[in-house]
Amino acid sequence: MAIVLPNFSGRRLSAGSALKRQAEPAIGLRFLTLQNALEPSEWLEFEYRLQRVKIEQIDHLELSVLWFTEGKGSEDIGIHLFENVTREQLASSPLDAARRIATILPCGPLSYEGRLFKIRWCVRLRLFMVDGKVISTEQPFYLGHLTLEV
Amino acid sequence: MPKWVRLWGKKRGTRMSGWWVVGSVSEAAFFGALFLLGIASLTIVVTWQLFWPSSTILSIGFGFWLMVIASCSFILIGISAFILQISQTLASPEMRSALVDRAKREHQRRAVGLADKQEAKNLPSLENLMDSPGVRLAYRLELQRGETTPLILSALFVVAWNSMLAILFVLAIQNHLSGRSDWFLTVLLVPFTAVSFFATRWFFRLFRKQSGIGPTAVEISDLPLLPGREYQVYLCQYGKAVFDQLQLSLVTFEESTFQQGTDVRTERVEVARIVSQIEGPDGPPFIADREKPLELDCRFCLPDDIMHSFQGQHNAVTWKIFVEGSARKWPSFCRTFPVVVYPRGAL
Repeated sequence: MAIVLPNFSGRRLSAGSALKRQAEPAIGLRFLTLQNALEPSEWLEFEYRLQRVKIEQIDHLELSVLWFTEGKGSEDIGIHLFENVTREQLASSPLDAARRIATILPCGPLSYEGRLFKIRWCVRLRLFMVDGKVISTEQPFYLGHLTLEV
Repeated sequence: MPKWVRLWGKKRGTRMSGWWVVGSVSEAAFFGALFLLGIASLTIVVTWQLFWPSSTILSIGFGFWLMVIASCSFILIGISAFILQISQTLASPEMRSALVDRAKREHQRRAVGLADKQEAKNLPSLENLMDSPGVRLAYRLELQRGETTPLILSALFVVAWNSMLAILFVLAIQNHLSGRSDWFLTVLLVPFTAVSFFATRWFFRLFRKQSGIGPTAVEISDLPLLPGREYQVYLCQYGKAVFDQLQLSLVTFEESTFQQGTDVRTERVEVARIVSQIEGPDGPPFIADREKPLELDCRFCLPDDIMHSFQGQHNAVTWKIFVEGSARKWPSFCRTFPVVVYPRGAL
C-alpha cells in the first residue's frame, strides 16, 4: 500500500500576511444536528456567529437555506429560507454570540447526484460590509438519502 | 478592493481573473450609454422634423423611419440590459431568487386564489395529466406531445411543394402551347419533380409508421406516482396487428439546457428503466384485431430510492411510460406517455 502525503505549497505566508488574515472578519456557521444528512420535514437547526468585526463595518447580512444545481446545464437555484438581517438587528446582541436558526425542511427537491447534473443543498451566509466587501460561507447538507448511504 | 484594478480579465474555466465589479460596471455603463445614444438620436430626428419640416436633411421617408426604429431599439435594449445588470450587481443570487419566488407566489395567489403551496415548487404540474379519466383505471394518460410533429411538418411541406410544382407545370405547358417555350423552366421541373417524389415518399412512410399500427391508450391506477408504491397500468392497442414483442417500461430522463458559445443546447440521457410485469394474455405474439383490441394489464413497482420528477429552469428529471414493440409487416414503434413522480410527503 502506498502512503500518499498531501502536497503542501512551498510558499509560506509572511508574518504580516498571517497577522492580516487573523484580523479579517469571519463567519462561524455550525449545524446543531449530529449528521449532515437530513430527511424531508425534519428540523434543520444551525447557529452562526460573527467574529473579528465591528458593527460599524457591517451593512447587512443575508442568510439563506437553498438548493442549487451543478453540472452540465446552467445553474438553477431555489430558496427555501431567506432572511435579510439589518445592522440594527445584528446590534441587538453581541456579534460574537451564537444566533440560532431553525427551519423545517421541505419535501423536495431531494439531494441528487445524476449523470448530467447534481442537486445540492446548503446553508449560505453572506456578510455585506460597508466598504463593499462581501464575506460568504456555506455549509452543505444532504436532503433525503437517494444516493447517499446513511 | 484589489490594489491594481485590471482592465482586461482572463477566463479560467468558469471563473474570471480580475475583479468582477469592473466587468459589471463596464457592462452597465455600456448599456447606459446605448440607452442615452438612443434617446439623443430619437430626439434629434423628431425635433428636426418638428422645427424644420422643410429641411431636406432627415426628411420623412425610408431613412427617417429607419433612424426612428434603430433609436427605439437602442433605447429598449439599453434600458432593459442596464436594469438587469444593476439588479444583478446590487442583489445577491439568493435575494433575486427569493424575490422572484415571492412575486410568483403572490401572482399565483391572486390569479388562482390558491393557498400558498410552498411544497409544490419545482414539481411538474398534474393538471394536464389528471383531467382525463380512464375507462378501466383512474386516469387515461396523454400521448407525448410532439410525436406527430414530423408527420404534420412533412404533410405541410409536401402540400406546399406539390402545389408549387403543379403551378410551374401549368406555366411550362402554357408556354410550350403558345409557342414561347421556356426551356429553363422545363429543365428546372426535373429536379423539382425529383424533390416532390422523395418528399411524398417520406410523408407516406411517416404516415404508415404513425397510422399503420392503431392508436394506443394507456391508463394508470393513480397519479402522481410515489416511491415505494405499486401501480396498475392498462394498455389497449387498437388496429390490426400481430406483435412479436411488446414491452411497457417506466423510464427516467435527465435533461440539461446549457449555452455553448452562442447556441443553447439541450442534452437528455436515460438514467433508469423499470420494466413492467404483464399480467394479461399469454404471449408473445399478442394479437390486436379491429373488432377486438389488444388489452393488457401491467404492474409497476417503484423502488424506494428513486429520484422524483424535477422541473428547474435549465435542468429537469422527467418520467415517461414507454410502449415499445415490433409488429409483423410494420416497422417497430415506440410511444411515450409522460407521468409525474412526487417525493413522499409532497401531497
